[in-house]
Amino acid sequence: MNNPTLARIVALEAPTYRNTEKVLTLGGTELTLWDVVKASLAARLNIGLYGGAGMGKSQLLADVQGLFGNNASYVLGRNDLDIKSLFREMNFAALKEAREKGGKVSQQDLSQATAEIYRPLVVVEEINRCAEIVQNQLFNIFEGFIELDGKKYPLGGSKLKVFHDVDGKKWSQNVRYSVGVWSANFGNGQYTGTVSMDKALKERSHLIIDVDNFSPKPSDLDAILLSSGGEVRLKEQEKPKDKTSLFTEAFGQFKQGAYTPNPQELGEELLMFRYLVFGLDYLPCEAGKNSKRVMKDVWPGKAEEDNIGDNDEKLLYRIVYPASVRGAMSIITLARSLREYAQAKNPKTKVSVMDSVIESFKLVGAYSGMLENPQRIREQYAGNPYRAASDIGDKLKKRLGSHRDLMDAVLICKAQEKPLPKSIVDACVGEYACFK
Amino acid sequence: MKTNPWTLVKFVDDGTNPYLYPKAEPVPAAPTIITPTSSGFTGDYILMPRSNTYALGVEALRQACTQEKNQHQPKVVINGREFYRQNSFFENGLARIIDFNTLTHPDGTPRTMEERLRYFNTWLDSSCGVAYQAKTTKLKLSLVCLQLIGIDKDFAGTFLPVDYANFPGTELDSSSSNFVRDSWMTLLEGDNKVYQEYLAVLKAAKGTDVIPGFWKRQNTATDELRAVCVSNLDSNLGAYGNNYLNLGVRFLRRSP
Repeated sequence: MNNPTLARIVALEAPTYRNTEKVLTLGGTELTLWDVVKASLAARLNIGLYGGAGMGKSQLLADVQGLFGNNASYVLGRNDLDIKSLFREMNFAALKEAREKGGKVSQQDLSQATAEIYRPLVVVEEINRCAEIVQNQLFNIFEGFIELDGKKYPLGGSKLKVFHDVDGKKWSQNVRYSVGVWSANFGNGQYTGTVSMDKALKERSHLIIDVDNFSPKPSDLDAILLSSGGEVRLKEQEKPKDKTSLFTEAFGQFKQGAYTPNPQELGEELLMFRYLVFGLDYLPCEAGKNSKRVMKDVWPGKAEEDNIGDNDEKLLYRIVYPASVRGAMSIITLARSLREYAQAKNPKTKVSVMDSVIESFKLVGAYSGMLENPQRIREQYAGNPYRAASDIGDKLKKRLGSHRDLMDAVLICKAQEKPLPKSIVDACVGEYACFK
Repeated sequence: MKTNPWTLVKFVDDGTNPYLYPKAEPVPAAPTIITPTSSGFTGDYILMPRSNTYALGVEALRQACTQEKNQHQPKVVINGREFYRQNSFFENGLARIIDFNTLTHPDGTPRTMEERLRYFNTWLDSSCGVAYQAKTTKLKLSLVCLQLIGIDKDFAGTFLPVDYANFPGTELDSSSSNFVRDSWMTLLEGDNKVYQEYLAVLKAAKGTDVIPGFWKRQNTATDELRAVCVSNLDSNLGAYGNNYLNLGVRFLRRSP
């Protein structure tokens, strides 16, 4: 089923950024970095762009701002960053009134939110040039609100939309759209003044892409040089067309889709969601209740020392930490968005839920804190988390694929509201116990 | 919004899922000859309550038999000590068939089909042990397995450790095309009559020919010993050799 709103988003070309390198393929349709970024924005997922300097991150951010008519709050990561100052202004009228009447005015009444809060986009460049404690100010921004003097202000504009659920019940709700994007330079210590990022911020970033894994093709370089106009500096669009309403509409449709999910896709999504949160938690060690979370103080060392598992299992047991509920939500949401985007790009595309979730895992899982064994990643994947996530994603697909009959049997029984027969219950063990 | 999201799921059941519709195997032409180890019994049975682990089920059976001074439940001697033992797989099969073929109550009133199928509509655990050889597809079936009969009541692991090489039993290769036939004939001690009766009951219940399967493990990390149980009609009377010993069990006990 083609989604006309997404089809319009697919058609939006990057004004300056050039990169035709494939990031992923879904149902035979190739998606580039620009595609993945737009698909994420359509689902209101925050995006982090990560990598070495000069390979196009800032230009990509500039083009993203262009999608929103350059209507973005722009923040540069520095240690003196005070994010609240961007959104707060003094209410001199209240001060004047208090002075004239001889009364008092509280700090809360003295300040108020600026019009910045209505911007749909917050751009943070060089996020890791401010210390982690300063980065923490961005938690709320990436959650879509700002707290000023004890009051929460939601970010972004809003549009009233009528939703309905599967029972036909209707209600109106303001669809608010604001999204955060950031960039960071990382490398082998060559960027002085940079620091690491904490797991909570990474998780709130929803999708972090190391753009160095998807460098432009040689033919892209030809186009970049020819269209440079002799200008080396960043090219910002002048008066770009504001497409905020398009992304707000797409996000509203995603919300509706969450209330009335596709019945053919829902069952597999539910199983995959369980698997990401609980299946990947499994580590056969009865002393630790077979749970990496329970063993978090000794994991992954315990799995390494005890040499737990065979072949591919070892990799899962040693490197992959289970997704948090929020992390799994990001993976499933991006998977939905990528599926629909791929179908909008090529209406003949047929994408399975599992394929889209695995591709989403490769992108989200790499930097969201799900791969937590740097030593092993260094040894087996040249220190590249994306390569690790990509390989592990393929292995997960193979493992789950070999249990396709079991998953289908569970879906058949659950969809028919039948108790699971013993044959299925007995097969749902280990990482598959969560299917029961 | 409905609270159970699974009610929204649509999934086509095309009738081919092996977990729900195990593939039928050909009826055995020549049964494997096995030395019988089970004893016959035509009296009443008592279906014991479900226990949380295999070991607790065995302990409950021992205690019940001891309390009632059971004269019919078979016994074995292990290290000079006498134990009441669980029914073998074959004895469970006989109990089912005899009970099914009993058409009337003692007072002469006819038994309903539901009553006749009472032992077919439940899982029955047995004294039969299945030992798996690590990292291979080989296994051995021990019809009256002393390790399982003498199991400590506090054992709550998923399987018992075992030295496969020295484990007594009939060895089979689960990768063999004849495996299901051979395993069933071994479990039923070569009694093709009981097997045919099983098939007849199954056909009557399902309306089509169904051959019960054997659920096994392969390429285990270590040698391991598990117990074999027989499933109910809903699960096509399959033999389950992959069960965890720390999951629920239910034994059939002979009346005292």
